[in-house]
Amino acid sequence: MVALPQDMSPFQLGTEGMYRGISFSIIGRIKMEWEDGIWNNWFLVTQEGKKGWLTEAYGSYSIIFEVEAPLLKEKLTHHAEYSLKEEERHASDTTYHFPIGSPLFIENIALEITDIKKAICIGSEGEVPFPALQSRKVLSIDLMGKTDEFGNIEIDNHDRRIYLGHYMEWDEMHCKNFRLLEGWT
Amino acid sequence: MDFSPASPSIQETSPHFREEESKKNIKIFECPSCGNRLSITAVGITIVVACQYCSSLISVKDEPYTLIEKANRNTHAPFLEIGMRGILKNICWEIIGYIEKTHTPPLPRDLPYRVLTLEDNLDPALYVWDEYLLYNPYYGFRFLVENRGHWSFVKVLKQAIPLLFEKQNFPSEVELNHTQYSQFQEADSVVTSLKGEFYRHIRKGESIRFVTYNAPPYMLTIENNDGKINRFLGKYIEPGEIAKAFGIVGAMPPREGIAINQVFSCTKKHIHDAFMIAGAIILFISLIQLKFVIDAKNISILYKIIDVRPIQKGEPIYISSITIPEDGNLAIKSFSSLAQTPWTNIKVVLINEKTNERYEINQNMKISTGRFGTKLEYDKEIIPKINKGSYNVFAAVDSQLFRINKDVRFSLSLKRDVPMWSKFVKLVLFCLFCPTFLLLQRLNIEHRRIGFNKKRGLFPEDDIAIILLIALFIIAMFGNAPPSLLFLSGPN
Repeated sequence: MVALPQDMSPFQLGTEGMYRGISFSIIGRIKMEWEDGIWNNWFLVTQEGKKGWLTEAYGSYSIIFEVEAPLLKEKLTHHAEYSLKEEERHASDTTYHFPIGSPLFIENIALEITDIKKAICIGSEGEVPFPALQSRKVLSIDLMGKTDEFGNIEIDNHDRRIYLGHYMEWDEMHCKNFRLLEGWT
Repeated sequence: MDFSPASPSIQETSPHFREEESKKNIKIFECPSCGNRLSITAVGITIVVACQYCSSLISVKDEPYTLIEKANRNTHAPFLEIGMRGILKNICWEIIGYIEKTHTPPLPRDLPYRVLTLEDNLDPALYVWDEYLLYNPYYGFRFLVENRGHWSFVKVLKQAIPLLFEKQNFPSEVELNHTQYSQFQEADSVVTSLKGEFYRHIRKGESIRFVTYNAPPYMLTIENNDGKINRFLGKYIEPGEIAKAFGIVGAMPPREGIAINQVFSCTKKHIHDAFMIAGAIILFISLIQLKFVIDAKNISILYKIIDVRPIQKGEPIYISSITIPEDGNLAIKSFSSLAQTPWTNIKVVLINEKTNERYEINQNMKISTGRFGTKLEYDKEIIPKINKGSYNVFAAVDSQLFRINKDVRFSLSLKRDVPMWSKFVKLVLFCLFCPTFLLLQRLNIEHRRIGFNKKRGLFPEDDIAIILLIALFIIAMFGNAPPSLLFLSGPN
């Protein structure tokens, strides 16, 4: 395991919290880097055994779970920029069929694309559901709903994964066993 | 001091800064330009640091840290210092970054995104504001925005604005959480000064298109940063709250003008309710007035046509005797049918035969010639209360006709128990005064909110027109009602 860069994340393996009345526990992490920064994807499992992610970027949190969304996946296959082949996906003159601001529906929820970025995995720890190889390249698309819905589409060389969930505030998650940061505790 | 999310607390005595033990999580490095020690508080998130000593920009995303832009001059000191801590909304925040911005009018949309420089001759008198980046590792980031002494506490909005789904241009109104926001201004912001650390790439001269909507106390700002849409929701916060939070012992920047999202006690709803109440009262008194009008008897007690010769100019001429059977009002109406005379004045005098009680009414008539031909004027006046009794009626006449040695012919009509309108009109004006005043004041305020377009109020800043409105109201209420408002007399 590669030592992950120092950060001020309040989470750690074993942190517990609540998502809309359902408790979860963090069991792993993938750290991603892109041109303008770094974010953490914390892998979690709920009390019901459902697996999901707590994304942490620029002090914003969201909890998301993978959904099937076959129609959306099928749409994405028609465009090279969403290809499973890295060289097509990361072409230098990439223009996206669904640019920032485009509306998309995931499970009948209207969302707007807010960010599209090419990112690379810089490390992982704990348990994760797929090989989080260092230097794994992805295309990550963030979406936002009219209230607090958050969606994500992540495309790597193996799969197109679609996630849906909600933005969360720190107080909403009622975290326990979180990281105590000196100077802030 | 305990800054944990569970129990924020801070001593409120002097400006607060992070304590020594907190520096364990901070990354310290030397500015590659001036060599001064700098720190990164939001480790793992901050990617750019602006040296607070020499203003150089340093990329801190990857080591070794590299100089983005070297600068040799110091920027002005911001009001709140980097490193200050304060509790706002029950959360402890540390100021880690500072940006000074100004604006330009929106650039044409077909121009490519470009970075402006200070050589673009920005007018220093333009709208300028400060943004402070606040950080808490558990709660993320917030902003404090200050403009001319007015402060807003701002957060990144994680909601798509519905109308942006359908339109390319910024709409004139948006709805957010059942609140309607109106577009206040659209411009391009320009970064003129930087200090501290930032979680995104930023540099001096950076220009971003933005539009601001307001629904006081809230301010919604939407930025288009090279295609990426960012949304921020700010709420007006009193300077006193900032001072208390950060332990500011001196004076806060004085407030000038009216802020975009500053609230006044009089809201649209208040004005709407005031007009509704006024309308209800006016309806009620209208019904009462209608009853008076219907009940009025309009009894004619005298109608006479009188000829006056020039030799009788100014002399009281006996007209007739009248009897008024009961106390009430009396309408006096004079009418002159003669043309080509600019004016005729008639003084009508009633003298009680028993008590010698005297009533004098001046009637002024004139001819006016306009685009619709010559118009004959008449005059009418109401004596609000005249005691019952027998009266001798006299008239003293003066006219322009006498100057050319011509007789004056006029008719005199006296009617009693006529409907009176002056009090009704005064009551209506009284009812409308308050909501109208509130509306004018609100319109004036809305036009004077600080924006990059130097806006003036509807009226000069010393509110002359509002003062005039009050003066007119006082005159209307306590002065005599103009004759043209009167019809037939009636019960008071």
